[in-house]
Amino acid sequence: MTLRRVAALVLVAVSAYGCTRKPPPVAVAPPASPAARTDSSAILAARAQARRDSIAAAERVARDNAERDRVARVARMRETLSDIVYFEYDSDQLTQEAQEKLRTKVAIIRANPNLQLQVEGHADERGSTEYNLALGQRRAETVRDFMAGYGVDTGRIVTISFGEERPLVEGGEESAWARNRRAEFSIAGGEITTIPPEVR
Amino acid sequence: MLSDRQGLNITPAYSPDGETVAFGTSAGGNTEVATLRTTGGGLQQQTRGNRNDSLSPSFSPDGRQIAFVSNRLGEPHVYVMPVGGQPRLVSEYAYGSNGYNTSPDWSPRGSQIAYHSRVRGIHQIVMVDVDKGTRRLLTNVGNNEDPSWAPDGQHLVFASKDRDGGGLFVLDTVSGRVRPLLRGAGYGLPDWSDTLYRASTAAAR
Repeated sequence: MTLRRVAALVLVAVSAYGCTRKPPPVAVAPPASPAARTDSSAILAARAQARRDSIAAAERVARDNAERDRVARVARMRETLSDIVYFEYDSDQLTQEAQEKLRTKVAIIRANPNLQLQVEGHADERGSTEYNLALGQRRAETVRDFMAGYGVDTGRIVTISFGEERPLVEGGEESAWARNRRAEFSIAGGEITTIPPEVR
Repeated sequence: MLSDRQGLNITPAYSPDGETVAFGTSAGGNTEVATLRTTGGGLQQQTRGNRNDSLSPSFSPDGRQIAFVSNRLGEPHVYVMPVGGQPRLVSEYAYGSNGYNTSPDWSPRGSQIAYHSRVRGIHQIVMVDVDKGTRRLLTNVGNNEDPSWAPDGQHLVFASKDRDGGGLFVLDTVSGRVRPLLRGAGYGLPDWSDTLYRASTAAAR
């Protein structure tokens, strides 16, 4: 093997080795002048800033997403809290479905100690105006007592009866009456800030 | 302010001597009839129900008895009790018949109590004589509710949502004749004042 061949093989080996690794990023050429050093540290500072900006942006997106998620959950909690409970004719007994709904509301109320709830009792149009006022009140108080049984302070629940005066649905048939025999709920004070694990 | 009790303070009625007001008010999760002095104070609970309501009191002319509504039998009926005494049922009741009798008004002239009763699904004005135990159906057209006696003890004003388009009507309990007083939707719970005595007697002539 001649010296030229050996050199050629070494060159091939070196170039093959060079293909697997990136070339050095910056050619080391003439000795750095003060200006070049400034350029270099500026680039490094810009890169560091870009990294910080990127992290801050990611954190902002994460915060925004979390806030959006929280707002959506609070909106769902409000909907759950205001979900209407229905009653049978001339009855203040809570159906299984009504009890289920009330237990979920209780979880929200207990998780948010500043929250106060107004419970409105309503009746369908049949019966007398006066008797239906009493019936609506009994429905509202039955709801309050049920919640108290699950540890909610009755002082946090305001009851009111509208009797037959505020129907949800107009109409003189059972489908309308069934929707009008109800308890409605609204927040009378405080805010929902905590989402209880039971309703996540 | 006579009463600002939490919950309901509804259906007030003066005693004939004007010294007492009976009304329905929330007590222990339901509504009870109570009395108050019109000068304030002296609250006395007159009925004691267990998860049932008593309301819509009306005094007898001598002020010694109160007619009222209670659903203590599971459905609303009209009762009479001496003030501070035990109630007795005066409206028609049959077990399982889902009766509905409410809004009693005691005649200022005697032992008659007018109320409204559900008859074949709609409300009609009925009169019961609590001394004789006799009852008379006074209307049979449309839904008729909330009767109130005129001072003459002969005429009644009542409300209807559907009779001749709805309104207030005056009924002569002797002749059975009914005439419109005020037509239109949204009228209810009429209460005949003493000062309309002359209008009432004029209507009777």
